[in-house]
Amino acid sequence: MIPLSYYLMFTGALYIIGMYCLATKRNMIRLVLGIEILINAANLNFIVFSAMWRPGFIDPLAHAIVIISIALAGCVSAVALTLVMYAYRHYGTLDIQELRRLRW
Amino acid sequence: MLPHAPWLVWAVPIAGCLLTPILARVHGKLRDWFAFLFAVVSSTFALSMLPDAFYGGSADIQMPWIPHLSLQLGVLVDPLSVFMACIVSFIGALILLYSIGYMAGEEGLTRYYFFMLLFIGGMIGLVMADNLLQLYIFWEVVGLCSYALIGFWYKRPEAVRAGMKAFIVTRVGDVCLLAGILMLYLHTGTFAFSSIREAAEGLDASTLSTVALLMFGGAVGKSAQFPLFVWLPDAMEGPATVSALIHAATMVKAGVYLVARMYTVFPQAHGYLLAVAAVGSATALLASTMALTALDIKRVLAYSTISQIGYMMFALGLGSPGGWFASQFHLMSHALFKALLFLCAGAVIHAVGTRDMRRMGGLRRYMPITYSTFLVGVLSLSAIPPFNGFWSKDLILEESYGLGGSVGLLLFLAGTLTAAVTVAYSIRMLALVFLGEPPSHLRGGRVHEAPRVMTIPMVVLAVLCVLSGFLQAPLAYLMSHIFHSASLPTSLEADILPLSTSLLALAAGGLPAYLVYVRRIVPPERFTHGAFLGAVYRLLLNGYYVDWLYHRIFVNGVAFISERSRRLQTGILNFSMLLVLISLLSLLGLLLMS
Amino acid sequence: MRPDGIRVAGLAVSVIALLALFILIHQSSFPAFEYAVGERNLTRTDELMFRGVSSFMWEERGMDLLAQAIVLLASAVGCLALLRREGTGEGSP
Repeated sequence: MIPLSYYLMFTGALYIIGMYCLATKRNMIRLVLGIEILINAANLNFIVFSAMWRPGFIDPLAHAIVIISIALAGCVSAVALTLVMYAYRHYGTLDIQELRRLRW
Repeated sequence: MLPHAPWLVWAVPIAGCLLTPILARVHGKLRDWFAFLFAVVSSTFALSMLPDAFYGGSADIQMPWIPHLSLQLGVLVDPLSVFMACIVSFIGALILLYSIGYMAGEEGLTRYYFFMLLFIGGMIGLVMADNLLQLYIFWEVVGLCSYALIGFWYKRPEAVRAGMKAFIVTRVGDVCLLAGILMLYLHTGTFAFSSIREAAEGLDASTLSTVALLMFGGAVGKSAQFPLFVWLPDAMEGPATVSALIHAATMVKAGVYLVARMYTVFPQAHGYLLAVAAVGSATALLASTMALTALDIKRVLAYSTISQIGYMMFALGLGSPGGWFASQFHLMSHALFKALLFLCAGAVIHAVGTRDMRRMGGLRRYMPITYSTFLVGVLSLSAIPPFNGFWSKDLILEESYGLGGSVGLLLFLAGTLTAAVTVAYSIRMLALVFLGEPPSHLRGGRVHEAPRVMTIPMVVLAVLCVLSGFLQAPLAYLMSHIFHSASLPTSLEADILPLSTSLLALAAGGLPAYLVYVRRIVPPERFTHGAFLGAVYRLLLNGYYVDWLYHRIFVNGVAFISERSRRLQTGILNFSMLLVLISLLSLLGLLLMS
Repeated sequence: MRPDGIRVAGLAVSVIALLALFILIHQSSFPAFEYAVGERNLTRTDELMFRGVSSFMWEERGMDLLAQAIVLLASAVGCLALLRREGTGEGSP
């Protein structure tokens, strides 16, 4: 049985990779990929905890939540890519550091 | 008691407020008169509970609300709650009748009646509430209605600002109240008043006094005591009916009701009572001095309200059932005469078109009914016998004299000094508005008397002001059911020293004001110039600079901090995500350290 | 791929956060599992609420009648307001 902490380190690393991607990359499509990585980290976390509750038993509630979460992740990336496309059409660039009009 | 009266007394105004937009689509007048009708129905229910409470029947009716958290919705039919419900609904009905005339022709009246009815329902729900959580919910509801009604004329920036100021300052009090309620819940495990009484036996003194002081903080915010009184003078930007209902007769009494209810529910620590009395008497004295220099007629009445509620808090802080009863008696008298004064002020403002007292004068001959009712109100406020203010204020002063000791003497002196200043500013207000010669722009029939729908409530209130002073004995009998052992004073004792001191104070305050403002032997402007008097005048005019201090600390301080933090918003997404990552790191670091 | 400030800072903070996370997971146990007891019902269903509502409606017929009267009045007034002669849905603000 693989101990819980290994799985948690894995999902934690996935989360930090997702955050690094969001914090560093300039291409907007890469940012959408970063959001996907974040959501996958959270889903994996749910599944891991559902299996570790008691040996030999897997809580089905977590799997139900994860299915809905995957569907939502698909919706989020659809909407995000639409926004990216419109932004490209309007501003002509995929670089997010060029879009700075929301500074106070 | 009519069936289901304890529930319907606050459910009917709330149902009425929800029906108001529907009625408004049919016809405006229908909505106005239906609002008055709902208030009348509510006051019928409230008055029907009075006979039962008078003979000592009290009930605590509950309905399950959230069974999982064992929260129940309940009403407590108890002499104090029935008394307050009668006052709120009756004065609310009169004020709604008055506002049919006063607010005629304004735009946004649906919003006005919606919030007035919601306010009446919320306030009655507050006083009939059986547990602290329900009380807090209704407390917030009346705070919301106050904000909405102060900012009724939302196109004026001062009104909007005043509404926000009222909401935010009372919020500070509300946070304290919530903290007190939750702390009490944590220690006793219940919100209901009836269970708190037994559970509070087991609490230690420091917990009890902390809870009591936190709840008193809530009362200070809502009842505009020092140091949270700054919202009430600015709240006069709302219509006069709003000021009469919310800021004179009912909402500001919610704090007094809370302290009074807490007095009956759990034992009071000595330090807490001293704090209540000190805050009350200090506020009473300070606010009455501030009313001496105010130039806006409603502002004088606002400071006067703060000062009179200071009297009520001071009476509650005396710690005896007699003082408790004196504060409730003064609550009733004050609700009547202050609502009357505000309604008369509204009639004057409606006729003259301005709130500034310097542009008024000599209105006695043009508005005789308003003048006579205003005179009744002023005589009640100044506690001249035989009006109701005399009986209740002298009862308070007598109770404080009877407390004895240095504290009692100090409080008694503060109270009499406040009474003297009260007479002074009342005569000043009367003289500036009604006596003397009218200024040139008001002569020649430009000023008209208020219509009958506005004068009828004023006359009713004036008659009640005269009569209600003699209701001390029945009221004492009603309230004595709360204190099963003690008996409450049914009349003023003819104790020569407090009586003569207070009458002397009335003369000492009234005579100079009469000479200066009515007889005009010295022009009042002489008191505003000169080095010492000028400084005193400016100090009083600016409200002891409390408002200025709050403005500097909170408004300018927050603006300064936000100006300095502008560099954190560069508009680059990556920078913001980097900040999120850094905060995640700091959270992890915090977890590692502990 | 010229290195700019945000990229370097992001890399550094991410690596440190990763290390901190690993150390945290390695060190601590997760007491949450002791709270998750398997034999307890996760949801509670009871019929008291349904029985309570219907018994209230039968016993306190007056209240029910009052509520129905208010709803009837509101709907009647609303219908009248909707179907007025000079136009639909026009009234004072």
